[in-house]
Formats: sequence, C-alpha cells, structure tokens
Amino acid sequence: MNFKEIVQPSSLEEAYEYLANHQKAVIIGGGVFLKLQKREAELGIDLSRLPLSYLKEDEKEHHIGSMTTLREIEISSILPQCMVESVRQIGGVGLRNMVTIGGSVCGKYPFSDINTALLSLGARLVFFKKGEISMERFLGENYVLNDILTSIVVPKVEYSTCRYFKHTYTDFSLVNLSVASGENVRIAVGARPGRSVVVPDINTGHTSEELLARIEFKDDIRGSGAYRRHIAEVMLTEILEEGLLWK
Amino acid sequence: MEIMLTINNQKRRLLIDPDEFLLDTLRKAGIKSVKRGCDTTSCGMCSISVDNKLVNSCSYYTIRAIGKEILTVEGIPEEAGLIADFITAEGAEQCGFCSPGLVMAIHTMKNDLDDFSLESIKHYLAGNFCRCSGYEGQHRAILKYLEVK
Repeated sequence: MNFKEIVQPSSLEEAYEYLANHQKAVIIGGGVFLKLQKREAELGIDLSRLPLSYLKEDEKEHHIGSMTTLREIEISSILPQCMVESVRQIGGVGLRNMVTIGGSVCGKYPFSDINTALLSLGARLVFFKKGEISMERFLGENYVLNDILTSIVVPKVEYSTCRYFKHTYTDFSLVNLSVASGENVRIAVGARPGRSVVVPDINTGHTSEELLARIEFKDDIRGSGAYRRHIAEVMLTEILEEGLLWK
Repeated sequence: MEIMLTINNQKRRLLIDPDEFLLDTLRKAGIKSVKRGCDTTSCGMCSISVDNKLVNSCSYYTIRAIGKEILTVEGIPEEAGLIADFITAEGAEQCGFCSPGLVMAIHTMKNDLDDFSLESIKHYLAGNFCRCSGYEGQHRAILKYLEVK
C-alpha cells in the first residue's frame, strides 16, 4: 500500500480526528501486511507514537495494548500459553518485532494464528469511541468500525494451548486450532482457510471428529478442505488426550 | 520531506518520501549492506537493529525510526569481522548475500536470549534465510563464536 502522507498523532483524540475527517485514511499498526496490499491511500495514521504498547494484568484479566508487538507477546511470562505458542512461528523475530496484535486483529486476516488463540480465550476488544465488542462478534461480522482499537482484554484461564500446521517453520498455517479452559471450555479453529471461528455447543463426551463436524474447511492452493479437517482433528485429539480439559 | 536519522551513531540529514521504507533510505544514504531479498519480510536479508531490536528494514517505515538508534553491519565492524571469521572457518560462506542480515540477527540475539541452546538459536534465526547452504556450517560457527564471546 502506498500512502500520499503519513501522520504520527501524539494523542488518541488527534488520531481519531484524522480518521473521522479523512474518507481514505488507513490506520497503520505494524504496517507489515498493509505493505503487501496493492492499494493507494491518501492518509496513513501511524499509531506508533501513542502509548499503546503495554501488558497489564489484574486479578481476572490481561490488558494488552493494541500496538504491542507479537515478539513482546512471545517473550511475556504472564500471558496465556495459547497466545505465546500461537505467535512463535509467525515469521522470524524481525517480523514479530514489527507486527502488532492490534493490526492482526483489525486486519481480520484469515491466516492469523493469534486471532484463533484470542477467540478461544473469549477476548474482548476495546475501541476508542465505541467501547467494547467481543472478538467473536468482531470477526464474525463484516462491518467496518471506523474506530481505533486501543486494547484487547483477555480473561485469565486455567489452561490453554494452541496448535498449527505449517509447510515450513515461519510459514503461514495451513490450519490452526486453539483451546482454552477457564469457566468453560472454548475451542477455536482458523486458517480453514477462512477466518477463525469458535466451535459451537461443546459436549465434553464428543470426539474431535464430532466436535469439528460443523466447522467448514475449504480448499485453496495450499491444501484441500478434507486435508485441513483431518489435521485439525488430529491436533484436537492430541489436546484432548492430554486430558487436562475435561476433568 | 527532510528528516534527521541516527545511523551507526552518526546523525544524518536525509530527504525521504512520506511512505518510504528504511531499506531504501539506508541504501540511498550509502549503507549498501542492507539488501532487498524477498521484500515481504520473509527472508531476513534486510535485517537491521532499531533501538536494539531486530527488524526487517524492507517493511519498516523510515519515519518510525526518527529519534531511534539505527544500527547496520557497517556500525559493528569488529564484531562482524569476528563472526565472519568463524563462519568462513566452517566453510559456510558461499555467495555472502545473506551475511549482513545474519550478522545483525546474531548481534541482537546475544542481548535477547538467555538460553543459547542450538534449539533456541535456530528459533531466533528462523527468519534469516540462506539459499546456498544447509545452515549446519553456520550453526557450528555461531556456537563456537558464542563460546568465545
């Protein structure tokens, strides 16, 4: 993507002003995937000068600033395991030092590993003007918010883990899967190759085949839907056999 | 637009486009160690350090680097020479195109890692490709170099 101009606001109010007053403005998070898109934009709003890179926690939740990089998530010692695992093979360290969690979320990238982890955790997104919205609703609907994501709230869980299958280390995932067990158990599947979704109506007596039966997997150049489904089933079986979730 | 950057401890006044990437800015400024390999943040040829963090300069907006310390392989000649000695001693160096990026990744890795097992080194360097070799020689060289350091 080419920008005619890039501004670096020093407050959220200023950033929002730019967004509200320019029809063709694009917010830049890490900017890495934006770069690969063949588009022109009048104005880029770079959030890197705002204090949006942080990891905070209280008793029940983690609060992650939207400009926190994937590398900071990877080396965090407090975040849920599935988040840490999900980012480990997203490109190399150089890439993860640039890519932000907010950019990954707002891009709604279907190949995203971190979005699948966030979905399994029941994350909530906090926008500057419109307030909170669940990750599930945000990914499931196609509207454009025209707002600035400021932070992501992740409930603390007892156990979580993430799996993905890649042709090579650091490549895009062919399919990914994340499981979190807190007040209840949530399973999310992504890179199907469609966007990440939550597995509905989980019955703890079901096998991985039964659990994933209603999830749609499709063909693309990287692999067939049937192949993706089989890998997802194997990954979920592996997690279920660890037996940590259902007791 | 005109900006000031700190490149290898030197202040430089440079003329850039608003959406220019650091790779292009550095090459225009005469820093030719940074290479455009894939241009999609996959290969690591353009790896540099910005405020002691490894980044791919092909996708790092130049305006983001204002006020930060930019370090390329030209800024660490002694360290780069030592690493090169170890890599050539293993016979791992062939075309040399990936070497400046790899040296910068090794440079930041020394600060970033606590555990220098081969596994964690391989994980850290997974974003720096070499298309000539099979990495074995580089890994031997890096392990020996880290012992000396």
